[in-house]
Amino acid sequence: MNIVQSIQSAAAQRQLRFVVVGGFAVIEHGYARLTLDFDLLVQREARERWHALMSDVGYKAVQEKETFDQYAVREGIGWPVDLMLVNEATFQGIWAASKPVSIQDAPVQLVSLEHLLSLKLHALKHTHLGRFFKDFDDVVHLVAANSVDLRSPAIRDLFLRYGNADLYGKICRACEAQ
Amino acid sequence: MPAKPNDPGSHDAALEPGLELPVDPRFLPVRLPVSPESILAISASYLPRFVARPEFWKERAEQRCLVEFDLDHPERAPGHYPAEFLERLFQGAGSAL
Repeated sequence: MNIVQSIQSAAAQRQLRFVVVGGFAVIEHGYARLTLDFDLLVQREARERWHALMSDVGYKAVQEKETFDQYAVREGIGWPVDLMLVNEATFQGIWAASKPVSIQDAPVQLVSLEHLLSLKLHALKHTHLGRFFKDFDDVVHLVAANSVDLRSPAIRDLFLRYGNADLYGKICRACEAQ
Repeated sequence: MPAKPNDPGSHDAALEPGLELPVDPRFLPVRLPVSPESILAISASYLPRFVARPEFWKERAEQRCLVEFDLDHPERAPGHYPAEFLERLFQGAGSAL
């Protein structure tokens, strides 16, 4: 089994839910770029159960912070896995809008495009220069790949809610320049 | 031993002006549909090389957003990013050339 299948299977047995976010989600939503980790959004309340699950599938924690846990395979080389921890209301909202897809032959829930953009805008708003351009590039390409109308009131509101007017302006300019 | 003039590893050769590179303003890259699975397979093929870098895990930890994402209350955490620097960068693109 690959890592997506292992985690999906173990999570189903434990009745743990997750939503695929990060680079895998960016690729699934149409921007063909490399990724070097598997990012999952999970309920913070289930953190300890996730820790046990990751141990059971051959992973060890290498970073544990308030908002995320990072895991590496105990032996050999495999996908690094990051768990993004969110509160119950946030998880329920993102879960409800997610859609079922198959990734590496495993049935998983994929974050919606709107929520993926929201997560990216959140990251852009709370980032440093070294990380900024990666997320900025993701947003610009996701907008293009999905023909997102940046001038529509709903999208503008989303950008202002999870980003800000400055980011919205920069992204509009970058998209229009392409 | 001095580097040969045409040695690609030579610093002087890298700075040599006069390369005749093709320029065609009509050129537009063709973006063909690519399956996500093939991109993940390519990503996986690069994993060993990148994971082996000593700074890999340190950089990964530094790149994570430390502020909690709250779907219903994004206003709780005010933004902090180098907006003014980025604005100068955007406005001044090309000025250093």
